[in-house]
Amino acid sequence: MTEKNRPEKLVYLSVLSAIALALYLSSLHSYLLFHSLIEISTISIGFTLFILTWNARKFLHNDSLKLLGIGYAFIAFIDLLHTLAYKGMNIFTGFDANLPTQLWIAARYLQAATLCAAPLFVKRRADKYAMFGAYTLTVIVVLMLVYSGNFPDCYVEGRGLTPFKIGSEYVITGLLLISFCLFYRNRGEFDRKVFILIGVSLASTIVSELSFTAYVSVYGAANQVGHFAKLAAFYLIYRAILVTGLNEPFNLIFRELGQAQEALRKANETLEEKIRERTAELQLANERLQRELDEHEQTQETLSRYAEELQDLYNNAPCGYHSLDSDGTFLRINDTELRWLGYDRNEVIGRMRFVDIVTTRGVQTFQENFPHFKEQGWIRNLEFELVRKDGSTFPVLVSATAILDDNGAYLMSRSTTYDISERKKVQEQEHLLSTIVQSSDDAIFAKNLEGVILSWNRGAERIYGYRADEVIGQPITMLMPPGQEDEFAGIMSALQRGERIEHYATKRRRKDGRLIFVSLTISPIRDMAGGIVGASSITRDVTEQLRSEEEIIRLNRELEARVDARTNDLNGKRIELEESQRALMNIVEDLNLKTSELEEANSRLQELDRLKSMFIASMSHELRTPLNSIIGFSSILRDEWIGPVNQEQKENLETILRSGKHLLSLINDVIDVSKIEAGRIEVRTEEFDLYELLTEAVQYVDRDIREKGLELKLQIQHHVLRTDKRRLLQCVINLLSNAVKFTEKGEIIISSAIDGARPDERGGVAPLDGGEMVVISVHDTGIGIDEKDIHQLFEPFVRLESALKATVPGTGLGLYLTRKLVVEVLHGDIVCKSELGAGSVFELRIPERIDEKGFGGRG
Amino acid sequence: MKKVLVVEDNGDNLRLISYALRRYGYEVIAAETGMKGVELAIAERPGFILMDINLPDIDGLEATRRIRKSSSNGDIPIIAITSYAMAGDMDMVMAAGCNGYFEKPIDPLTIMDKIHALLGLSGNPANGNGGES
Repeated sequence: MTEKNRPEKLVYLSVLSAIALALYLSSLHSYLLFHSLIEISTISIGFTLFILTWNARKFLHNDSLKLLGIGYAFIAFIDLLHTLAYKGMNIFTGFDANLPTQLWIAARYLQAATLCAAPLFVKRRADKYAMFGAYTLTVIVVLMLVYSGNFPDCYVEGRGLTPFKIGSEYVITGLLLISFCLFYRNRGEFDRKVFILIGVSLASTIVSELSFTAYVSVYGAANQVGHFAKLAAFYLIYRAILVTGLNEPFNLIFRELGQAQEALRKANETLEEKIRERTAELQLANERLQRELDEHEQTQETLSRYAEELQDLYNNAPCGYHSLDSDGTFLRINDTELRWLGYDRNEVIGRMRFVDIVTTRGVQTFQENFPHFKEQGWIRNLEFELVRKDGSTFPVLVSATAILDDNGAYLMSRSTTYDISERKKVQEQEHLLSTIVQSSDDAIFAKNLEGVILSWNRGAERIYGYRADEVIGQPITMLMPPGQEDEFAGIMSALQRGERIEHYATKRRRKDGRLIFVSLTISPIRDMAGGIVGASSITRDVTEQLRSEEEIIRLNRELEARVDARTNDLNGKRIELEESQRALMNIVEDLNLKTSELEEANSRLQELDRLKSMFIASMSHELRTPLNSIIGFSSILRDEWIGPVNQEQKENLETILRSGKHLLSLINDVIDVSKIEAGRIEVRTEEFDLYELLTEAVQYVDRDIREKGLELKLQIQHHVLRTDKRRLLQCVINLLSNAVKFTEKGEIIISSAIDGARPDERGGVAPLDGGEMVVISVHDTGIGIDEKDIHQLFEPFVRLESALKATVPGTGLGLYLTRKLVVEVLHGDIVCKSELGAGSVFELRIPERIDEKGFGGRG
Repeated sequence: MKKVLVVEDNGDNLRLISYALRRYGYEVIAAETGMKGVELAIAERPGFILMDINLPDIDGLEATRRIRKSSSNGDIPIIAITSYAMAGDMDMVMAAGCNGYFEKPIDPLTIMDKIHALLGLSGNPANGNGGES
């Protein structure tokens, strides 16, 4: 239908609508007419369905369609009876409306059963005659039941439909739903359009059945709707099977063809897949084979290259190779040997025997040795003269091993031939030289660098009296007279320097002990690389040349005298040396003694130093504690805390107090000085304000200043310092109390300043980090100091002569300690400017920062 | 009368300090050991304590720590009396919980002014010629 174009579809729908309208209009005229038309239409469709299914059965491979065709024929038949029996037709008289209703129900049961069975035959095969028989039997039984009155009542006049009729309609509806489910499950076996048509037909049938449960009159509206639905259902089945199956039979055929084709395609794919797999396997096998072939080829190449190399090695070796069979005939010969001989290979192999290329003497050697060689399997360094093709000869050494067969019998030789022409020449040369040497009248011999004699000629035998076998391997010194062996070292070192000794006159001793005068010429022997390996020595006997024995004796005596003199001289020197050595030893011993004495003294000193430290430590506590009590109690007595004291008592208490304080400050000063001198003073830096420090110092002397009626002026400023506050305070207090002590009237000025001046401008100390120097000055208008005494001021226990010396207390340590503290703890300096009778200025210069270790710098 | 605890093992020093304290109207309680000092500090609840550091049993620093830990009298002012040799270890003294310190020797004539200045008190001699009379 979908292929139809739109106008055609429109016409088709119009025709259907027109038919439906006509039928409706007929019902307005007579319901009987309407019923008859409807039923005839459905009956016609039923029969047509059968006829066409029957005729098309050859194309229909789906037996469910066949079953539908046959089934609908029988349904149409019962429907025909139903129509004829319908109320008002007056064909079957004597029956009321019950009969057509019973027939209707029977037909509907049959229709539902058919529709249920049809999907079951989608895949099953069924014999058409068996189908026919089954339907015929069923219809006959049903009709007999109806006409005999045994079929249950369906309609009772005046009461309407019986419960059986209504129940049956529901049962039929249920069967139709089952049928739909079965079709749905098998929908894959139908064309999609056919399945939809069957489905809609089933739905229409259900509508039809349900409307028939409702009517009261067989001419009623529900009845009419039911009939329309029935017609629609029949028409749709008709569309499904006949129009689709015959008008569009190709679809079915193509559908099946399509299915077959799909199966084929799948099979084809499977086949192709298998072919692909097989092809891949074959390809792999092929590749493997190719690889093996390549490897084989490579091996082949390697082998042939190897063979070539072997061949090359054999033919072009620097020596001759050949093989002889058991007769001595050549079986193989290499290029080198052929080149030597001047023959071609063809001339030699299988044609010549070894005896053909040797001299007559060689033939003899060969015949003597060849049988022996074959027996023992090897021969070594046989010398032959080989004869070239051109008749010339050359010497060779032949060595051979035998090749045996599996039974151990001789097969052939593998012989090597060495050309020894060069070696022969050298040997001849050597022989010649050796002959010359041997025949010389002079003694000629060689020695190595260790002085071992290596060769010895006949001249040597004559001059020295030793035979060659007596001296070769012996040291050369055996030829030297006693006492003259040290000549050897001198000669050897000259030789090692490559020097030649010519006509060296000396004495030698013969085997019989007689001394002879000789002239020696000794030359270094070099190896091929030019290194010196030994020496040749030529000795000429010159004894006969010397005029007389006496002269020799005289010379001898002179020599002996010289040796004696020299020996005495040396002995004298040796004794002197020994004496000096002894003296030196004594000095060293003395030194050792002194050293140990010093060490002892040093440890005693260290012990003393320790004792001193202990003494000072105990002083600091043991002396000060009672002294503090003396000072404390005498001060409260004097101040009359305990009770009133008279003037004399008060003065005495004053003396005790003053003496106590003096003693305490003396002790404190001594402790500080000794700590500084022992390097044990501890430096404790902290940050503080200079102004506050100076104010604090002033408080210590404030009372004395007021008592003496002096004026105190402060010209001080705030400045942050980092140094040993305690020690600085101590120094300032010392200076201030000195000023107070030695000033009877006038003023004391304490001032501070920051001095950025460089040390080279002032000549004094300077801070290491480029920070600033702080200057603290104490100025008084006291008695002053004579300029010549200023340098003594800072010495310990010095108290300058003055009018005040007797009355002013002092330890003589104050300025000494102050200076020590300023220099060694505060890393500054102190200077004094004064004039007798005009007051003094003490100026203290210190770095504004020092670090814990006591160095001026980045504190 | 205000009570003052003096912890000091040297009898002479104790007597000297006592003169000065009594002169200013204080009642002096004395302890000769650190342990005794801690005990009396808690039991007698003095107004302040003068604490020697070198003591026969526990030292003055330890005694100060124990007093500071006690619940009843933990914030009592304590002034340490230190020896000359200890100069520079004052951080330890302050860390132990002392409010301040004086170095020996004690000058009886000036000590009370210093104590009052340190504690923020004011005071004058109770009478002109000593507390003993």
